[in-house]
Amino acid sequence: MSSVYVLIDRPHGEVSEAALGLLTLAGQWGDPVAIVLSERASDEGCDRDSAGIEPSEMVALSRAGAVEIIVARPVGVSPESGCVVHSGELMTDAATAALSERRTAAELADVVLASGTPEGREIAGRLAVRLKAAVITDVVALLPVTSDSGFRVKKTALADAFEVIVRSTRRAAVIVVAPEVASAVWAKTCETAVFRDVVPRVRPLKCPLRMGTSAIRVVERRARDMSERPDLSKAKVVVAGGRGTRGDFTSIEALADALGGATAASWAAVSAGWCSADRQVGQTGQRVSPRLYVAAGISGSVHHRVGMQDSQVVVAVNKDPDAPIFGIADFGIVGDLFTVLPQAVEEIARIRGRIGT
Amino acid sequence: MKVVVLVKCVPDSQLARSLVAPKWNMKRCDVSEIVSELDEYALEEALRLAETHSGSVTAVTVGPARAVKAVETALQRGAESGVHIMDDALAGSDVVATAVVLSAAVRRLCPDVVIAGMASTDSGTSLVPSMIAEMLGWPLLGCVDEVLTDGSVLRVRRERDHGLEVLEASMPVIVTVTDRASEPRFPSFRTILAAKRKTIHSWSLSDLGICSSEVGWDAARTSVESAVERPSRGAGHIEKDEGHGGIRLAEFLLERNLL
Repeated sequence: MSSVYVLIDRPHGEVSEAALGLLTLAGQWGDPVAIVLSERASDEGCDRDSAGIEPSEMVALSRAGAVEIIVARPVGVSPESGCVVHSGELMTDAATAALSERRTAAELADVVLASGTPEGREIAGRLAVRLKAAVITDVVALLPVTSDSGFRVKKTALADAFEVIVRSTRRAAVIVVAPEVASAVWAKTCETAVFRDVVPRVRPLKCPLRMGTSAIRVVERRARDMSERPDLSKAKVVVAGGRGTRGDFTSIEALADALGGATAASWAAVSAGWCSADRQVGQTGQRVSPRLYVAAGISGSVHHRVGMQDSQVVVAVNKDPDAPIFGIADFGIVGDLFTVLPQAVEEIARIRGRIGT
Repeated sequence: MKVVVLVKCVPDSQLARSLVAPKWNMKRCDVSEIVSELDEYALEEALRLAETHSGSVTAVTVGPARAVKAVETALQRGAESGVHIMDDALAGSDVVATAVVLSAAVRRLCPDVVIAGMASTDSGTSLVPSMIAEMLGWPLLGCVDEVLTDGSVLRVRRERDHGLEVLEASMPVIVTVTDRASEPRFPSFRTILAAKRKTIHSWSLSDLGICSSEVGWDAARTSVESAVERPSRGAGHIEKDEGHGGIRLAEFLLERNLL
């Protein structure tokens, strides 16, 4: 089987679930090879091949099916130099180096999988230029490879209104998978607990920096305070507020807490400064598909709907009977969220008391 | 300071959009095309940069004759000049070809900063800016919420799922802007009048030294085999709150086993 390269992103200094899902997906097309970027520069001395990557991360990568883990360590960057380099270009350099080293006639084709985060898209764009590769974004499934055609995938288009089958007409392809799809693949793998039982080869790769790379400096990086409510991307219940809250999220939070759910917001609410950007659901925010999505004071523009229309059950509360959100709601109340939500919270408590949960 | 802003006309996402056989490209018609909403934020940041550093903004677009509307709109909001790259050979161009054309235009314009929206609202790949950055050997500051500069270094602020980042890059640099950036301005009567006196340059592929075999349908690195419209969610039960809306909501959740 030929190698399928997977770019591993580590947003919190830890391998993302989406990256693990990509490795699982890569197994459909060949032998998954993980490319990981180490924070430790190679001039710091090579204590072990996986330096800079936590042992738990290495275990996760092998459980997800990586037959080989390429640990790229940049040459010429160290934390002491005070110049912390942004990883987008660095990962492109690492992937280019890893692929050019391995490109032989025996390899049928080069295919690289990336996650569709902003960084993932930057790397995909750069890599496609360097490899003269086809690039396909918003991919939701890899389709079986046939001998006569290039790599085929299923992707969504026009705010998820269409499902499209696209084929690469080039030998090399960069496939950008929707991050929520990749994360869901990994969650399912964990649920079934069917892990690929392989011991991967670990290979260090010295990655020389190109000129442009050092042009970006990190001036400040502040981690977000983590909310005590469930993580938005994983929550089974999401309660979202929009313009109609007028900035008062008390009712939204109360209902979220009553249902053990996460809070979310529309673009309008985030833009107004009522909520932080990590809460935003929609085209320019996150895409979620919980068991229950409650939209309160959200009109439901196409930009918002694309972020939540795959939820199992949608409930809407809005004053405006013509709000487009009602067009996709399983249940809707035309009314004031400031009276409807608190009453619902009260009734939920009463029902729970009655049925003893 | 010379700023280039990349703009694009797209089918209005509030109206029905479709893909058409046999090549499954986007159905486009003059009337329903608007400037991609996310480009408005890019233009606003470009205008602010130019205003504080006595610079000028050039709006650039690629596309058929009707695509010039994107440049005209930018001129009405305060951009100084415009470039419309138009050539019959461009029909069917993919992201790579678009980036080849735009990077050639940027090379010719020699700006300090190129600003684009975080995505278009039609194909929405977000790839063109990073491809231009790669072709020009420039750094990319992607998905930023604020752009600042002291004239020599560009500083941006951006919010991510994991926190806040402030980054700096020397120029020339390419930046993409989110819809959390400053509210885009509306054109005024004065700027609309002024736009009539501004020049829109029309460039062809040969003006940019690009061979027609590098662009269009035949150069595309992907092809679409089929496209199917996904069934849309139908509406369920909607009722007016008569004083028991919250109770009705809780009952619905109980009925659906969601409590």
